[in-house]
Amino acid sequence: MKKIKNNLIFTERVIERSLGKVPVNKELINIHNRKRGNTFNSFLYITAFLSVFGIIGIILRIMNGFDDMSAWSYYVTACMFIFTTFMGAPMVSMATKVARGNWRRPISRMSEIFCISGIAGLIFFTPILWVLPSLEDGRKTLWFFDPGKVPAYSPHIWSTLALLGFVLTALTLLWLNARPDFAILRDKSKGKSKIYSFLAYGWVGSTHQWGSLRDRVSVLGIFYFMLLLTVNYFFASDFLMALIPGWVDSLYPVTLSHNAIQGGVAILTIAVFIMWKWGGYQNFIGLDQLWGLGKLLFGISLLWFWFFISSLMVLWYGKKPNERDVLQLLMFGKYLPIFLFTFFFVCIIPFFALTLDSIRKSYYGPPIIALSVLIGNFLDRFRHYGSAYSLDRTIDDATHRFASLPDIAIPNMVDLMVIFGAVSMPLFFILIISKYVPVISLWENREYLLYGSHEKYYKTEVLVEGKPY
Amino acid sequence: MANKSVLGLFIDENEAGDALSSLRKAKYQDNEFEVMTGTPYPHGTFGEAHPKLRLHRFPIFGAVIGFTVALIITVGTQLAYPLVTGGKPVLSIPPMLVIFYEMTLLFSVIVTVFGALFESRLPKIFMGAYDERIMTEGYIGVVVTVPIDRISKAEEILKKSGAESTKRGWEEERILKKSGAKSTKRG
Repeated sequence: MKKIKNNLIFTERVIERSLGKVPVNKELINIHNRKRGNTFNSFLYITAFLSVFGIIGIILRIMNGFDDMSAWSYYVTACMFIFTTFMGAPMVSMATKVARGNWRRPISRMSEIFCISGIAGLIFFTPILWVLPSLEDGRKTLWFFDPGKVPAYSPHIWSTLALLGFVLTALTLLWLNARPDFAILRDKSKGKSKIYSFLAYGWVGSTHQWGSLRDRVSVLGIFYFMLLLTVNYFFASDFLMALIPGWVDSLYPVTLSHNAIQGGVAILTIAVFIMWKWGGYQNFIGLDQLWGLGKLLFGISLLWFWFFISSLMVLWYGKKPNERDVLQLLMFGKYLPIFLFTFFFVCIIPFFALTLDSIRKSYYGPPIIALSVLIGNFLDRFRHYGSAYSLDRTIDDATHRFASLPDIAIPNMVDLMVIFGAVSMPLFFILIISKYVPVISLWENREYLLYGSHEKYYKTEVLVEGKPY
Repeated sequence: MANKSVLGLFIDENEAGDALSSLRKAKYQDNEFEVMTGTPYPHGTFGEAHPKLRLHRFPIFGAVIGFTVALIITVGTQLAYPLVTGGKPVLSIPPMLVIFYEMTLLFSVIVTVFGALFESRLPKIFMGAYDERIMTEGYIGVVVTVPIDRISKAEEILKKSGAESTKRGWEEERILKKSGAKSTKRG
């Protein structure tokens, strides 16, 4: 068996095992079916408790009313954090599947499991529909509005529809991808497990079923990406930019989508590390996976700077009073410390740390950097949504500038409940679902056994991988 | 005459491929037999016919409906409530594009989800001949579904081709159980 720096990479291990005539995936199924330990249960209870805490926070926030938008600044920040981290993670699976990258096989299911976070996102998003003012306030918007004729709630209606489509696609993708695994677990239990019989519902592994699985995963994967862009477009334009007079930037909606993918890669890196370190999957996750995610994170973090500087240039050289106000509000005014920390956590640290081989190509480096990205991502959301929802949009007639800029809001108890709830609820759903959905795809790893083998190449041995049409 | 199914279980890919060739020689049609595997083999591994998938039709169908609905909503609204905005024509394309895009996408998604269920043969109430070892142990199954008078010959071909065991579909098992006979699992 070949070793790389004392650590075996995934592919060699699995192939070695398959050649050993051990029934494929037996170990994976055993790990999935094992009784969960105290650590897992403790995390489950903690996240459940904090989720309940979060729901109480939502109720308390609703009871305080929707009129004072500044009271909702942390709430909106927390909700957007769900969509720009947890809901970005499935993109890793979709993109690498389309690109037919074999290194993704052990992590693609974990990436897909993040789709379940959409339910938490929907729960947190719903009250925001009442926070977002109608178009009757006269703000600039993409939508038509005419009092008494065209409804004043176009942003609410279209963003809700897009979001429902997004979550529906996410859940469908998760189920469709996991269906062959449900069939394996159904048959392993000799049909005794009713939940797997129901979830696998009719899967027999016929050529037709495998063919349609391939097709629908690619079609729905593309839709997922399109909806990710669409939803973030609405979150950027209707729920943020329209609330800051003078902020006209055609790049920011795409920036938010990019931030979602960056956050998604970061949170997936941490999840994969946890699976490797404490989840019992050390034999199935190797350096290849964390290294690959580290490379992705590196590239995406570099892109953050590109988006940032491109948007900055427009406002910086525009110099109109309202454009200077936007810069003061988001970057150089009272939110300067938040901006600096964001820049540091989301761009500087990942860039300089992941440049180093010793960090990028390691087990511990990428997850630590990913943690930095997540902190930066939250601060970035707060910098934008926190300032937008706290802003008094009164314009001084003499200077044509904002009458006042908001201070950085200090979170109160309800805000903290909501923030912890928003982070915990998706985690709770993920932990719960991981008891039923194998966190490493059984069928995708099996498939790899057909296409990968070690071959002698002169005086060394190489891994030969097939990629059938 | 009602169709019945028989399943042959193979360990070797070549033998499963041979079974398909033998079935064709014995005048069984491509739509009368199917290969079942626990892992997605590349198309044509066993010489099986390429499955005719209709999944790509669903998103296109959904997109057409979505686009049409979007067109009706936007054009209808603007004609019903003519509003001149920024000196532009009442029916101008750019403001409609967002609605076109979203409705086209949403309808494509919804129809694709239903299409995926349909393509997956859901709800599949009658499983036909099936063996759990296909998914759990990696056996390759060749299932032949034909009228009952041709089932024995198909079973014979499967056995001759090297099937480790054969198994009749559950429909027949149920009939035999009713009449007090034992399971038809053979091999």
